[in-house]
Amino acid sequence: MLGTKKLNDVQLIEAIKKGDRNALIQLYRDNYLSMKNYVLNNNGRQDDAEDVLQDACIVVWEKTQNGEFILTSKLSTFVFSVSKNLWLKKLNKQSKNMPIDDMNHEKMSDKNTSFDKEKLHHVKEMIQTLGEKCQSILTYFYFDGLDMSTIANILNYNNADTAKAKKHQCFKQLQESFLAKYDKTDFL
Amino acid sequence: MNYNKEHIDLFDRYLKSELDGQELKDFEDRLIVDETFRDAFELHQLLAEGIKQNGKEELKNLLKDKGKVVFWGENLWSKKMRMASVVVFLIFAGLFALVQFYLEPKERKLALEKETSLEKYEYNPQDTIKNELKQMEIKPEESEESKQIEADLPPILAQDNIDNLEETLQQKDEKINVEKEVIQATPKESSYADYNISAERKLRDTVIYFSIVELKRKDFNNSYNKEEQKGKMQLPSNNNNNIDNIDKKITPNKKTTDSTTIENTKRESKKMAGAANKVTTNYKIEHWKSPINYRGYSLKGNSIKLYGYDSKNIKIKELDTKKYIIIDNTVYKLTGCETSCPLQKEYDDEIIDLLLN
Repeated sequence: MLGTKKLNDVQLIEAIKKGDRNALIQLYRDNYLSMKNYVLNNNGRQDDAEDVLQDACIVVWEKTQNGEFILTSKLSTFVFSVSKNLWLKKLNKQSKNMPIDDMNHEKMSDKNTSFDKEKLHHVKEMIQTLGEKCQSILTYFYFDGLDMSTIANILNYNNADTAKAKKHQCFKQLQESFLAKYDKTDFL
Repeated sequence: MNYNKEHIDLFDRYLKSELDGQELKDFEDRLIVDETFRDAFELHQLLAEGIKQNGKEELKNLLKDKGKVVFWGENLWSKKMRMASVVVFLIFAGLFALVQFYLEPKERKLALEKETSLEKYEYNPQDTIKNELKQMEIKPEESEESKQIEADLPPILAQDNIDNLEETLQQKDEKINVEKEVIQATPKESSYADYNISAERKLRDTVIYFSIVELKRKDFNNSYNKEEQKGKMQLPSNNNNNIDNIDKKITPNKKTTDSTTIENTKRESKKMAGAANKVTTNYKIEHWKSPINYRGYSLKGNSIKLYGYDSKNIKIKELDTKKYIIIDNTVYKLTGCETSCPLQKEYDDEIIDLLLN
């Protein structure tokens, strides 16, 4: 990132939409100081500020990928307000002795489907056993929401069909390895 | 439970909200009635959610690693380190300022002084010779003693001395030219060693010629003792032809036991010996002023450097092979001293009398 041209808000959103992770890092850095000061002045630590800002950046990322993000104000204002809300929620949950990590699950599920943390942990373990290429193609498709032709370009596949076939193969591999280790009752 | 490629595509399209109309209705009806289909969909949902969570974690880790913002002095520099670096910087800045604004100007000043002193040291040999010859002519008129000495001097001897002096002056002139070349060839670099040279200020630099009267007191006494012992007055063996004249004046075999006779003989002998041993020798006197007002001299060959004595009334005399310098009628011993030595006053009244009278 250092030494590269600094992007404005519109350029940042466009870059994030294309899956440019460096653009997200710039967004994080641009808002780091203001969020750090806010959290430090509101019973938080530097780690809390970083954590909250990371979550806010991921919200921006997900909303951009889903096409839900419409820039009506400065991007920094949006990031700050999201971060602020996340921090206040965390503070509320801390005061009620609730586990902090639970609050993210609702956001992450498109269909308001919530999964047990343990089940998700098992899945993540299985993903780690996959090859790097498989992890990338599945992440681009399910997390970044990219279409198969874009993924084919990024991962240097001949065309979208080749990428799609590879995605099926990887997903099948994940499914089989998961089913080999866990029973139906373990996750349903 | 296992599902095929078509199932995966269908589930993905449903999750991405790409199903609509009859396709969406059929899918949702099947979810209700077909348990296997429902289980497969739930597994697919779980895996997709797991992939999303994993992607999110990866992204968070990426932001944590690459998005780290380090402000100057926040982590790398502790407060003590910053203080230490400031102190070190100030020390170096101070040293730089000292060298730049104090030592270098001083060196420049010293170099300038050196150049100035070198310029002052330049001689004009022709003028020097003229001045020195002029002084030679004027000198006898300046003091009564010089007049007396000049009067006592045989004309031939005096003329010879003048010729010798002219030769000596020519030699000296050549020597000065050589010295001048050496001085000009010396690089004008400033250094601390130059400080001592340039700090001593030369007041005058004139070659003065003195007539030195050799009064061999010891020889005189010896001869007087011998005269007492042998009853015969003898002059020193190294005297010149005038010894004969002295011999004639002092009666042989004459016993001189009374003091008046001895004094008369002594005075006579002194006068004769003095007349016989008048030798003119040239000495170069340099008058210097030291920055610490040091008073002393240095003698190298026929060149005398006087520090702190600015008088023009200076005479050099020799007695019993010892040299004396008389400054304003004060007699000092003059011994070989190449470096600076203090002038030692002569306290022997007899010697003082002989030299001053």
